[in-house]
Amino acid sequence: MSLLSLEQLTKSYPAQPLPAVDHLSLELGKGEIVALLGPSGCGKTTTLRLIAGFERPDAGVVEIGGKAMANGRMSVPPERRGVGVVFQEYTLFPHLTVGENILFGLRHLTTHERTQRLREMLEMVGLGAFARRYPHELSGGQQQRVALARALAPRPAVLLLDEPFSNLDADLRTQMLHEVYAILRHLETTAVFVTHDHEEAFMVADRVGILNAGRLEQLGCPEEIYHRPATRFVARFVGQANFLPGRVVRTGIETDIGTFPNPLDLPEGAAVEVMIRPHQLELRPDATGNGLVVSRRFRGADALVVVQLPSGVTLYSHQPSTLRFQAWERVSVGAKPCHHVVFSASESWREGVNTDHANRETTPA
Amino acid sequence: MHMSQATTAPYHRLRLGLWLQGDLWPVAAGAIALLVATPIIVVVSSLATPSRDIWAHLWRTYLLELVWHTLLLIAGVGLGVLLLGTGLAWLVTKYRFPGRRLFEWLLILPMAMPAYVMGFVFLGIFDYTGPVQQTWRWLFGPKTWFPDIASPGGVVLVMTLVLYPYVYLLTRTAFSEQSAGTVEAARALGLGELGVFWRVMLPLARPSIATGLALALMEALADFGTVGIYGYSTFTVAIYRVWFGLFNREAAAELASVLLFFTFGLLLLERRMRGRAHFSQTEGGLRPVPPRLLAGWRAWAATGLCGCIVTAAFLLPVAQLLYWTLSTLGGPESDARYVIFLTNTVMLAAVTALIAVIAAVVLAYGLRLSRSRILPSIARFASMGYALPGSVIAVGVLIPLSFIDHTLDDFLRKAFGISSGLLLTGSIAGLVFAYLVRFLAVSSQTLEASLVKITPSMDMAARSLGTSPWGVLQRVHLPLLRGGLGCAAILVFVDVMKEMPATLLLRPFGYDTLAVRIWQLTSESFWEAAALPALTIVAGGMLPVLLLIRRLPTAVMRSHAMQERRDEPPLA
Repeated sequence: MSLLSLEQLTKSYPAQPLPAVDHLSLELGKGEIVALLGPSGCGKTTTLRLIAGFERPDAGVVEIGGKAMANGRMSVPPERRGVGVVFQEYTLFPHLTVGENILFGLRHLTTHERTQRLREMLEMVGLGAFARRYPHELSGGQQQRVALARALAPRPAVLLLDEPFSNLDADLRTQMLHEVYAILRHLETTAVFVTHDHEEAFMVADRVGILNAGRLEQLGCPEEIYHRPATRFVARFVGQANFLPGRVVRTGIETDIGTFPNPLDLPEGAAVEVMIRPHQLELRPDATGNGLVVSRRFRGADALVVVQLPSGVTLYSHQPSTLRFQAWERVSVGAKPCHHVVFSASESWREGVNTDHANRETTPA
Repeated sequence: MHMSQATTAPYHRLRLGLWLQGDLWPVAAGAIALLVATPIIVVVSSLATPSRDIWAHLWRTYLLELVWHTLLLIAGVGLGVLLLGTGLAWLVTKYRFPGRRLFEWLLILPMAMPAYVMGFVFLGIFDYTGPVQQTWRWLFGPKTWFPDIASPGGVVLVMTLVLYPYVYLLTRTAFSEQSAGTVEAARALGLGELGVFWRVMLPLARPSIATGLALALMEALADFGTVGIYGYSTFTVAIYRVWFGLFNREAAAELASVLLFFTFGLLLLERRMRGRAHFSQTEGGLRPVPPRLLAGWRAWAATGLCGCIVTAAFLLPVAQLLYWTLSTLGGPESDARYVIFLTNTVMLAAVTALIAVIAAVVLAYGLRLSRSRILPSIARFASMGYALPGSVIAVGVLIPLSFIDHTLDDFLRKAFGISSGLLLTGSIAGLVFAYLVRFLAVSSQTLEASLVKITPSMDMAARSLGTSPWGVLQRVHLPLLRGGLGCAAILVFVDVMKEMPATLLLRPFGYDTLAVRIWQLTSESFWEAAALPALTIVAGGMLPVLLLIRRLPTAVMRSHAMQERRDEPPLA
């Protein structure tokens, strides 16, 4: 049985032509972590607010633990939903100490239970010595831990995290990511985690949902999202991608850099585009090669090499930084993608609107 | 743009909907703002509909003199507070000398002293019969010249001494927030120490200086008690005379509208001087310029200067008041009715403070919960009352209220044969309303400053932790607002206590407050008898000054401020 279920959830705001959340459906099992990933304004935060009860849906159903929390007619107020929220800006109560913040949601417990729970929570986030401090005396990472402890203290059925790491600097972010992940797993917490950073989403989530203009473009495990994006939007949002024009011929899909298998018996003569990730491109120095190195930028572990094909198509590739390509050097270009993702070239691709379900893919060769 | 709107506005509506149906707060807020704006509109409209006879009369008699006196006052006090305020701020932020830490806050103390108290104390000390001139004559003979304190120069001196703290306070903050990096950059670009002052620090502090100057000059324009006893006729004095001497309310309204015109001019000037500039130093890089150590005679000169100012503007007058109070205590000049005046004053101040705080809460929440574009402009207009002299507001309040009174009375007489009397203007209702017009801005700005600390997501956090909307109000909002509410109440309380002209013009007959009593006594030169009421007011005036001093930046406060900045909502 699913612990959290969203069914055809829709929410519009006045004076905005497009709905913020558009017929969104999602189910989470017990202990599952789902990341909602998308650009600013895609509706991911609104979805979170609909689950928490800070917004009422125009239509659709929110169910938590099998009980309806909201539908078009009623909405259970946030305080009776059993949902914990960790906010982007932590939002600790500045007039309360760390301990008082964590105890804020535990009024229904006995004094003994409260002290017990407080100790447990402080220990869990490693802030045992900080119970009497005030929030402004803590570092960003510590505030984040208190916010997590406060949200988890009442043992919520579902934990919602709204861009919880975006206020931390890079080092701390990775560290907190691991800590939070460990805690959520340890408590077997069911969680919805909103972010615009695909690496964060991939690292934490069992499944990732890509939101675009209020709609769920794709929902799947991180590998699936990365390697088999359902739409060009998804393909671009979770990492760099080249879209190489090609044409379906009898033997497969013919492109400037070779022929790829035709994954789904697309009709001969159809114009398509093959998605190739930068690290899947292979470059070899070759005076008679079909590619011309336009630029090379050293990045540390690898280098970004930009290659132009005779047709004028520009490809971005990541090459080991030990290979020293020179600008204006000729190279032969090849690719060995593990999945063949092909999009129809004729559909017009518009940012934010998903009209694109022409993509098909084959299983790894 | 999509996100910010999506994340803030509708949420407020939901929260509101849950603990109060409908858009009640914004409507109530709009009503309050409009009510408070009415007197301002009344006075402005009397400027728009000039009465020819009255103007002709004013022109023939004392209009030119009033304008000349007002301009002279603005110029003199403006120059005085600029020099004193900026200079002292510069001295205490940039240099180290004996007693600097102490003077940093001692120099604010004159703020506690209303100009009219300082005025009569100086008259008492420096007048012909005062101790100073007596000593002078004893030393140099009876015919030796001594500057006359009851002169334009005397008025300017008195006002400068009590009003410079406005400039000092704001400029000092501006100077101390200037980062060493800015100075170092200027030095690296070839500026000397003086060059840095003139071309970097002073221009950077200009917005603060302008605001301080405008505040000081508004007080100078609003002053009635000082100019009254110094025989220096300005608009406030003229309004009072025309009102009580000639019972000519139209003329009073016309005069008030001219005074209003001066005030608007001042506001415009401030805006021009401040410009679009909203200088902010790079966040995080707030490394203050270390003050330089003054050595030898310079150090003592700095200490001496600060000491002289504090003595002249605070210690001396307070000592004199104490002396007078003690010397009259129990004597024939002591007034048993002091307790009545004190009770009246405290009652008026407390009632106004309570109403002003409630109104401020409604206004602040109304503004926060409303998405209307008109409401903020009305609220801003209503907050202009603070810039307006009490005499102007009194005129603006009395005209509509006496209209209501008379209409109501006429109606009741005709319909039921009973008289309601002067329901509003004959009671303290009109007076409290006038105070509200003048001081609502004080309470609402104080409250808003603490309300921004409560971010929308703080409410959401509390809700998601199982707290009902009322619970959020009790457990999150109230504790966080408590300080702000207290501050707002204290500020309004003290302002009401000090306010003289509005009280004089609007009080019910025979209803005397401390300020009124001071006017009655000092206009008859009974300095000694006025000392006890004056001392009481000065003691009350110390409260906001102490609040200010408590807020002086220290390391802890700064980290706190940083925290608050981070917590600011996306709305702000």
